Amino acid sequence: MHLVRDVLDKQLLGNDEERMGKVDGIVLSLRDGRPPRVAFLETGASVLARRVSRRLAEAIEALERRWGIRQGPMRIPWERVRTTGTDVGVDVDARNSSAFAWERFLRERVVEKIPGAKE
Amino acid sequence: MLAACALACASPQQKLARSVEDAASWAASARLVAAAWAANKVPTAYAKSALESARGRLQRQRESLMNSVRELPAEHVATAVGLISRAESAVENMESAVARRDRPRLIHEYEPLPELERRLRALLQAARGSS
Amino acid sequence: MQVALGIVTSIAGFVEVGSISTSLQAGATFGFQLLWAIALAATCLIFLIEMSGRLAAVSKHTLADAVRERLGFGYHVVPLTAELIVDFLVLAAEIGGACFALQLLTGIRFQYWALPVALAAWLALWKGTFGAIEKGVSLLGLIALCFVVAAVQLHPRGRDVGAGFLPSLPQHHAPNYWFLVVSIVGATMSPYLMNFYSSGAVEEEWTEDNLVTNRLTALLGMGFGSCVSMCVLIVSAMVLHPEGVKVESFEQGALVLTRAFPYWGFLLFGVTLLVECFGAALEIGMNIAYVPSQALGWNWSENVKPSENARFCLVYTAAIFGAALLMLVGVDPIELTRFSMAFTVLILPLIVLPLLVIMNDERYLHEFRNGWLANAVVIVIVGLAFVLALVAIPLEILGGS
Repeated sequence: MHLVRDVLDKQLLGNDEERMGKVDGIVLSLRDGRPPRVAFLETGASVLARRVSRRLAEAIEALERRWGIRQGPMRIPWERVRTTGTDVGVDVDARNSSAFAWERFLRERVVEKIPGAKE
Repeated sequence: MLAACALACASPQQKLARSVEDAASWAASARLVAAAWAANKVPTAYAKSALESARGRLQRQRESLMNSVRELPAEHVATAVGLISRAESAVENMESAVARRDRPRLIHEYEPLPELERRLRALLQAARGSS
Repeated sequence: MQVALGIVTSIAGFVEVGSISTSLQAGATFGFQLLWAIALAATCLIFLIEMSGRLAAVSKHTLADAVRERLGFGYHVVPLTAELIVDFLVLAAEIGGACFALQLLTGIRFQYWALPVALAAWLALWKGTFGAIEKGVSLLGLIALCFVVAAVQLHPRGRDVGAGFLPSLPQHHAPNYWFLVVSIVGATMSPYLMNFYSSGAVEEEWTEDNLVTNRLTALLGMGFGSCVSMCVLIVSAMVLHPEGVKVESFEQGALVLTRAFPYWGFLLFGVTLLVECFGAALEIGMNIAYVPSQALGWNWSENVKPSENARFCLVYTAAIFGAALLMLVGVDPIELTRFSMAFTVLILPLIVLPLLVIMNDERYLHEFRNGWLANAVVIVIVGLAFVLALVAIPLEILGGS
């Protein structure tokens, strides 16, 4: 499988076909004498930022920890991948996962305080 | 860099031509606005604002010409400045006529404008011709 | 029925502050000479829009999705950032256009309208759904047809109008002429239109069955929209050009309809400008939220309550009020429009180039990939975009006075 072409930057879809970010990073596990395996898929602002600037990535992760949003980017074990193609389907309950951490944070702290948000 | 040079190197005739053309355009604008207001086609607030803008632009062109008088062909500059000043005062009078809602006065004030515009455009042709 | 609505929607997307101001300027300064530029830009746009729609209908992915997924974040970050900047500037210009229209209609200075207009736009996006907004924008936007009526009523000579469709060299003001060509292209081929159209197709859940609708909408919608722009140019050419008035502000442009409609002309101009700019502001507001949402893979939809997609809604909220701020501090809408048109042209090659890759990708388009004609057109557009991008800045300095 061609990881960069077929997996990286593709849309992640959870159970219920819910959009939950793109595959921002791939973590390989290196094994002695054998070819590397895909351990995890990573998604999150800090993962993306790391592709541009390490300092930016660290700043984002520090912010996420300080505000209690999440402890580091979301990692999805390769075993949870259901389908690949134009999207990567994973066996994850998107809405309750760490992929929606910022969404929940912003919803509770900002959006729901504005009138008309829930009708 | 080429563009900046081209801008700086616009010939005196071209600079004069541009100023004169702008002035003619704003004088014509003022005339059209006034005519429209006199015919009840536009509201007073708009007419006042548009005439004020026109006067401001005419003033700007006149001052710009006067500031560059050394670089520009002398015989044309004096004529241009004269014409633009007259247009400016006509527009100023039109403004007060509109403020007082004095239609007959307004119509009287914009009468000289077509002639002023015609002479400005003749000047423009002369300036272009010699460049 | 769906086709009719799509066509009407496309008219609204076409006629906005950029196309109105460039058409007014072009007609006033050069008469009918620049009609060919509008026609050329519209033709290119028709192809681009059809492709955006086809991509969305077949792959269920929008343009922003596909650029990230297919070309990687490394490439995408550049056009993504550029598009966000351009969208923001154009959004500010549209809000400015609406504010200025209100100044024309009420006499109250445009800065005071910045917050009310922003609030109205935000409310429409906060409470409205995609379908409701598009229907509203399209139906109200039909008022722009007053320019078509005016153009007909003024009885331009057919031969003169026809001659305008053949590219010709200007007798005077060459830099200004070519600068207007660049501006017309920038106003017509706004990057936001392509992504917005593909996002709309996904919102409306288009499938391969909608491909014919897509073609008709692109062709007739953009076609009619460009006709309205051309009529603005024609009206300006007939009313302002003979008097030697160059349009440097909307104040001067406001008179164009008073000849065809003696009593209603001024009002029609003001209301048309207001409605078209406001509608465009809504579309760009949505797009400025669509683009990062899609690039980063967030959940997004205008059809969903704000509490269900917080990130998406906060982006357009920040954008709308940020853009209004530019108007509050008194930035001139027409200057801003001019600047953003030139900037659009600069980034156009980056936005169109990915289509060559994406529209030929079997995984996205299956058997609906580009044929040789579509690919040829994209290559021509990219070439044109590169040339225009190169000359845009020099012309802005030379000809944009």
